[in-house]
Amino acid sequence: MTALAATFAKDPEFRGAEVRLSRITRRYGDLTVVNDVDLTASGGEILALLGPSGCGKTTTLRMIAGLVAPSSGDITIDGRSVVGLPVHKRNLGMLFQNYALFPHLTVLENVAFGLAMRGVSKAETSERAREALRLTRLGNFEDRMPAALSGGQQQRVAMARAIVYRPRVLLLDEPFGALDKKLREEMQIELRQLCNSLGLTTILVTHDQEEALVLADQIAVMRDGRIEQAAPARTVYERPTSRFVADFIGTSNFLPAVISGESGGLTLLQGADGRLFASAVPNDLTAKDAVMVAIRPESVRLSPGAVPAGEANAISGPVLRTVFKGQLLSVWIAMPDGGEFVASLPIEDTVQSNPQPGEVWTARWASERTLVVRGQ
Amino acid sequence: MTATVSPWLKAIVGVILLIVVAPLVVPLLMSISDTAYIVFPPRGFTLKWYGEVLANPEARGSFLFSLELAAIVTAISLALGIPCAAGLTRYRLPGQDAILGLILSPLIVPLIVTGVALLQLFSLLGSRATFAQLIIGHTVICLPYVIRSVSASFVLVDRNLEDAAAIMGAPPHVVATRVIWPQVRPGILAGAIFSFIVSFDDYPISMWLADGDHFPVPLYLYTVIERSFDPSIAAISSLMILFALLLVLVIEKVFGISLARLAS
Repeated sequence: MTALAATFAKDPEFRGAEVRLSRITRRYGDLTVVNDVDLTASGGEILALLGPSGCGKTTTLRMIAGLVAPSSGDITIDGRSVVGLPVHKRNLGMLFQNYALFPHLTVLENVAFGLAMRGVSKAETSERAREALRLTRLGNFEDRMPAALSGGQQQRVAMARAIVYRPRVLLLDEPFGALDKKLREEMQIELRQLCNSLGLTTILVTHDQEEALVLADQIAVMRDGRIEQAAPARTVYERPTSRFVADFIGTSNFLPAVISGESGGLTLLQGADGRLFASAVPNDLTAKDAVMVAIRPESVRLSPGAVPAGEANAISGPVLRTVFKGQLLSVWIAMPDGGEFVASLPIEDTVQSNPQPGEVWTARWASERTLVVRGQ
Repeated sequence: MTATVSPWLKAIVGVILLIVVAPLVVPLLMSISDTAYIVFPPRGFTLKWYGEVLANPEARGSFLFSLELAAIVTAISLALGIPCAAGLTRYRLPGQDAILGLILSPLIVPLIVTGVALLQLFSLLGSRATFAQLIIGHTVICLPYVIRSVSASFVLVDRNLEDAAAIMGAPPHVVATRVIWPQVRPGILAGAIFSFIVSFDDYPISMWLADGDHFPVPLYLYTVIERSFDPSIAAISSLMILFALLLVLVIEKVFGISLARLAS
């Protein structure tokens, strides 16, 4: 596929465009759906807009596409403002949640549409459309009607149709929502390879944190119309800055705490019941901020017995229940204040010592895995 | 469909078909009767009544006039109805339901009342333009059919397809012709057929507005029935039925759209 992609991207100069949003706001009456958003997708990068429904991510994408006009702010593509430029002149590609294939056109005609709009000759149009279909592994389906294809195949047609005229930016609106899990994972990997090999700048809207992590170089987490955190995908996972982000991407145990000091690069915190925490993860919070300590279940090591008094980054209590999840065993421990603390053990680690409900166990985690986030 | 159809359902469908189709077959049979008066079942076989009707300049004139009227009315109904249906379905307008109710009201008010009302209006205005009055009167009753079937197809238009086309570089007029038109075409054709047939068959409106020089077929048929009772009446009726049938068949052949699918 990479070889094909190379022949497809005949133009070695081709690079995806940089997309920049500056102070973008969109209001509907009294409702501010997108609020003062600054965002940049560099050329060739895959950016995911991630958030729950109603957070403004789709509206943001539609503003980039030109389907919705911003109330204020500026959008530039390769440094040129596109606000006021009609949709059809923006040279973008887009994948829709329901694929939006033209039901009255064959697969080949669907793919050829964008080329025909660009005045490409008939012969070249059909050659390039066939090439795009081969690239998405649909070479034998040219003459079918979209209704005769499976969901995954329709998705591939939509993909071929969106990239065939080599847009500078590809926009994806929850593109895999309608596919089952296994197919979705396949398509995600395929799409990622395709975008990377074509050098397309890609902006993706999703509410699925896993999809964002698999596909994106950069993730912008949105909440109530604002960007909560925008950073490389791994950073967003490993160093969430707010409780919202830590909660939205992955799962976390949240423990209330106050920052009590700093020592040797560690942030020291005091929690309820005299618990102590030490975090080696950089943060820009101070003693005045309301903070939480967030611990990922997979960062935790479990051992039998109670925690010695005064030990930091540890919590102990009776095991409430365990749930087998295939590769992982989830263990819930009751905390003295009535809360629950969940840990995930790799299944190999449970061969020797298997926590049983009622037994007292201790959870420990490294200061490198102790996240300090803003939030109550 | 492999499910077995219950014999009761078959029987009911059969009865309904009989009720709908049988009255149409009767004039066809009566029109070939070789008798001087209408009789059923027909006796003998002749096509002379058709010859008589077609040779009659009054009958021919009425038929051509009805065709002309129906064509003009349909053209006007489409010209008014398509933008109206598009506007009512694609935008949220203040008083939308009231507008739709007003447009569809001729379907509810008895046609004879609409006809009288129009006659009073035109005489108040002192109008003597019979042809224009007939066109207006028929348009009032044909427009609801056009708007109903065109609206139904506009409602089903997938807006994502328009967005997709625009993103791929299609300017608005191309979106209209290559994306919206294929989706609404069946509804527009259905509306056109309904409009044409409603105008062609109309009696209660024409009755008030026509004059000797503008005399549609249904009125002509009525005057013939009053004067005589020979099978030429059945021949005229049959011609009207066959004409409507022909229209539907032509549309199916030319546009490849079956009325059965439109109705579903």
